[in-house]
Amino acid sequence: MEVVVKDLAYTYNHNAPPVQALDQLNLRVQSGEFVAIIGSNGCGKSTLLRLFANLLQPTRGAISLGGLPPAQMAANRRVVWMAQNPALLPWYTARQNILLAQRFARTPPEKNVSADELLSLVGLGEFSSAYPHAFSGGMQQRLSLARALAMNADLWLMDEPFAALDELTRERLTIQLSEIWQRRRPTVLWVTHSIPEAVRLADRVLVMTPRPGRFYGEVRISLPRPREDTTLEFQTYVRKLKQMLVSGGETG
Amino acid sequence: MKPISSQSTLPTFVILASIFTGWEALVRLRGIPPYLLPAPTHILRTIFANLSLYGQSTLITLGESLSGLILGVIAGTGAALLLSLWPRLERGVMTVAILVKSTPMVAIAPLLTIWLGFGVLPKVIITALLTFFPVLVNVISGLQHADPALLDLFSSWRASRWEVFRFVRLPSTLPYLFAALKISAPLSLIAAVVAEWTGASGGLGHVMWLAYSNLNLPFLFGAVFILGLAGVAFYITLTWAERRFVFWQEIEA
Repeated sequence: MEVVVKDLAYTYNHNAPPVQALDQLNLRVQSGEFVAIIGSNGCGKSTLLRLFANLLQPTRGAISLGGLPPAQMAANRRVVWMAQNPALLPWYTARQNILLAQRFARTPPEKNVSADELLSLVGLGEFSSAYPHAFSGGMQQRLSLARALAMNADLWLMDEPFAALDELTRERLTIQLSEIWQRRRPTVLWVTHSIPEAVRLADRVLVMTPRPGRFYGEVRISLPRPREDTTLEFQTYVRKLKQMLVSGGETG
Repeated sequence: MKPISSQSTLPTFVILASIFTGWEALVRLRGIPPYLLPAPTHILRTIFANLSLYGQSTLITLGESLSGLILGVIAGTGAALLLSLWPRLERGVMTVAILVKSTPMVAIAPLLTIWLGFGVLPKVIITALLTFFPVLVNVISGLQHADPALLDLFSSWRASRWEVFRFVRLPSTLPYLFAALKISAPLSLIAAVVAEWTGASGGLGHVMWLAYSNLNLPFLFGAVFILGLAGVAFYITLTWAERRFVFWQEIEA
């Protein structure tokens, strides 16, 4: 699903004084492209995803998802949004949480990946009938990821989905997710604070300025997958992005 | 969610045992007459000697308070749901609810007895009125305090209002409902007993009133003991049910 954003602005008006989160933001993402977004805290990354997920309405500018406005896309159930907060239903088991998502996704049953398969994928296979309140923060986030995958959407809006995970789990999931993405080829917008994670996953990494956020730089990652973070090229990309992030913080 | 262990029941038992032993010793050593303060053993003997009367009265009073409680919960929850559907009604309903809450039930009880007689009905109504308000307030609060992260998620799923209600808001009210029940359950016993004082053909309150008029303190204390036990039983049942149905929340006992 192609994503086009023109001159987008968003201002939080319920604060006094109003907070301008995004301004003059332009973006074009090709169908099937994996785009990572990095930027300092509070630069509006989450706001941007919320606008795409139709949870917020732009103050100015327009968003087109596959040629349609976000509201229409959300109604078609072709977009999945995964927040930083795992947002699990505490009164449902891990399995029920996933089944509920599939019920809302309205994919034909034969196209659905089974809940148990998704749970084993994120390493929760033996916890399918456990309740989320018994899970650690990392486990909750993995369940939330499995639920997002269950939606079988064409556009994935991922807001720091791996933030609460330890380094090893993060790496393992990054590899698995990369494989899933290559198989299904959804369009992905992946917000993260981890530069290596962005380099490992994305076709393109966008760097955002501090508030009001907009994109001021991008790096195309042309490394074959799977990517080894020990290679020299990988490290060069990481260094380059780090420099951009630092200089963006100063000029922004 | 740990079960009630022998560790936690032991101190309770020791404290209760020492209170009753001290009481018994005080009455016996000082030779206090039973018309001032009967010994616990005397009270227990009175209860066992009049087991059928006490049993019958307990059934009546428990029946009244339970029916009132259930009625109050249904009415309170219903009103809360109605208000969440039509927020414009909130002002009117809340005014009535606060009026009901602020009027002392003791003041209404004699009126209802005069209008409705010595039967069970006025007691049930009083109990329901008393239960109604905490349930209404808490269920409204539960409906409004659904986890914003879940509301966002359902909004991103484009869930209908009914779906949000069914999957998020309704389950979110359960902990609040139990909090209300913990307040209401003891109140419901008080309400039933007080209503019986204003005139009744049976029940523990009626027994108390008769015993009081005859200054039969062992008999009066028997009813007090049973009411205390009933209150504890209510509380234990509720705590158990809360653990069972609101299993996802840490509950402090």
